[in-house]
Amino acid sequence: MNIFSKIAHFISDITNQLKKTSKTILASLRRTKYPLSERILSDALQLSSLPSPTEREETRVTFIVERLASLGIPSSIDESGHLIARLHSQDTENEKPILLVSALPSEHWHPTGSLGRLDTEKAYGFGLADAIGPATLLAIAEAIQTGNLHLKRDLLLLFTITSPGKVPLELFNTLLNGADTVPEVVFSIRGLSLGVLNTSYKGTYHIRVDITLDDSEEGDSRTSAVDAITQLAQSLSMVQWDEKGETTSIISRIEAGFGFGKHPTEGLIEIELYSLDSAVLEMARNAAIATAEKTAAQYKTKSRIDVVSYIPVGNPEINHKLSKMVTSIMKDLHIKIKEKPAVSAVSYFTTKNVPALVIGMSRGHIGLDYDEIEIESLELGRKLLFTLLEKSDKEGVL
Amino acid sequence: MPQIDSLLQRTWHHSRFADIGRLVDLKMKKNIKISLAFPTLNEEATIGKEILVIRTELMDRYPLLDEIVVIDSSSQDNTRAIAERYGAKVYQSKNILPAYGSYRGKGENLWKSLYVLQGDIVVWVDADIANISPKFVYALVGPLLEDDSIGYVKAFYERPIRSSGELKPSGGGRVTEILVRPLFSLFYPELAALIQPLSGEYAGRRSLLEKLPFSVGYGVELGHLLDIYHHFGIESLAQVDLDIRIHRNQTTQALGKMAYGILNTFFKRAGEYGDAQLLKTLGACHISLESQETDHRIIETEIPSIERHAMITIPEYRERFAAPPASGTTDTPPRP
Repeated sequence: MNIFSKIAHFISDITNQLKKTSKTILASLRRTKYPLSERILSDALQLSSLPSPTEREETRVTFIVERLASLGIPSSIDESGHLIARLHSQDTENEKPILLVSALPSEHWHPTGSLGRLDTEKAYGFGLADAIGPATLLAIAEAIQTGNLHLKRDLLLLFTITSPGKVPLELFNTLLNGADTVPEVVFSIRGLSLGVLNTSYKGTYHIRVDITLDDSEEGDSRTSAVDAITQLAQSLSMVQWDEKGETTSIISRIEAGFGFGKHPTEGLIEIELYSLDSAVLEMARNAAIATAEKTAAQYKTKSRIDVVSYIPVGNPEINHKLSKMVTSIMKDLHIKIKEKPAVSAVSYFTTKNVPALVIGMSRGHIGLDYDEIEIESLELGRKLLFTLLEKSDKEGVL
Repeated sequence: MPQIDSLLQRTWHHSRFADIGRLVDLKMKKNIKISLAFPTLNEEATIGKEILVIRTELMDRYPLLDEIVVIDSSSQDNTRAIAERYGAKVYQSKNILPAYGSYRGKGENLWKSLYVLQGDIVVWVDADIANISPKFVYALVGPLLEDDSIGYVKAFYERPIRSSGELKPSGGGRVTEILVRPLFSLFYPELAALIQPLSGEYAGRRSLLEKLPFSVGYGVELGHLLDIYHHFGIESLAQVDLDIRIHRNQTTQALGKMAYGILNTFFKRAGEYGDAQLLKTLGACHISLESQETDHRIIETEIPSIERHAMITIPEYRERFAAPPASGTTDTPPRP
């Protein structure tokens, strides 16, 4: 039995076991003041303590599967490991579903720092902000099942095992080409940035360059991997990609050298390119790769250049009605609006004429030692999202 | 010849009780209440998460618990405010049964909690658990709901040590392995099968707990085990594996004081039950040494060895719970 079959088998078992308990849960939701935002926080604290990133995020996937199963919601895992669940509406008349997306991995997990803690106003924990997205999707599932949120469209919940900055292209295309899975609208749910309204979607390239020097007797011992990597970083940092400065390059990681007295022969550099203009983004990509190749040749090193991820420049026009809707809801809820370009995998949907927005659930920040979440703001984020779901379900977004 | 592995027949993994809906059904059928209490002293770093996670899961989502209560020993930090914020009922230990005075110690808080809690089953969980999850409660309650002959359930787990912000495997439970298990092996081999006799998480039936005297300090867990063993039998004990517990680790000096308190309780109980006889009075203080360059200084620390009488002997308690006096314990304890 391969791992996929094992997980599928496990899901089926869990679903059958827990289906019968869902009634107990459903009857109990209405007891506390802000039950759903408290459950988001509770689930986020539990999720964020589970190790990540891992290859297929099995532990976090198991947590989600069990939680959905306890609500009587079956889920499935595709071959890449992404988890998807469909909540069927009783009232749907062949209308397109709403797609909610959140990412399961966290780059900020720490064995003790991610255990999380609470004071009266804030929640703290390494990677806690990353866990709020998936926890929010669980709260929505619970609200639908308990009748606290009523939608006439089906709801698709997608928990990706890739970070929000990486497009799961195959999965998105499967949804876009499916008979009943093309979404009316897509919401990507994130832990922080409550009030941020994405007026545009930047395209990005994430490029990784690995170099290896010839360390044989014939090699030039006066140069090192550190020199080559530094040279490449300097070359890219001095480029002005366009007149308006809308295209930028960032060196996100450099590693080279082994310490004092050792000749550094290997190194790597990771480059991120961002632009609002598809043509300039392509030009920047080609230029960065060419610069890497030229630098490698200059230092007589072997090089390996990989495009780690790519997000296309989004089409903000398609979000026109949706953005107006969000603005109006935020104003009603007295949420301060900040307009910013977004970098998100869901911009891919806008290039296929499906409106897509990133929704931040709370205020806070990601710090060096831990993330900080303002607890009261989470209820505001929940109200924003629920109102948005109800409105877009009722009025449509195109 | 005692059957030393008797307890292992009532040793389970928490996953056995993971179907919380089934536990709720059992609770409803038996028509009983279940209470959870946290004894606290300056636990602001962990208490909020413990209460939120347990309440959302085991009160809101599944109605397994009827109340969550904090019994606080006059914390100087924000423990009480945080506990209230996340939905616990908070009591200061000194304000419960004030006519009986107040002592500082975990055992004191547990004893007093019996007076304010409503449950027929009482769960006590330490408030310093960093990796709290619902299993810390439902797995302790499960055996009591399933089997009426079980009266008291203890937790056991791996206890990784925090070192430079990382977790290192095992190393916890030092007092257990160096002191308590050897003592049990010598005096009560059946109890040596308890994997973590000193664990701070356990659940019991009120009908059993109210008949136990409580050491106010370090000896409370050991005292319970010896009293239950003698009065209710090894069959009334069970233990559940909770996987891993991450918490503060104590210094060797602090563990030394704990061991002193535990030994004190042990000899007191062993003497009362006729299992050992002391021919001299025990020392009144824990003695440790502090080095100052080439000199050494004696430091004497008083470790409270006070015992609270069984709660069933307290008239106010009997009135509150309409309980008849326990046989052989009809004397009203003296008020301080």
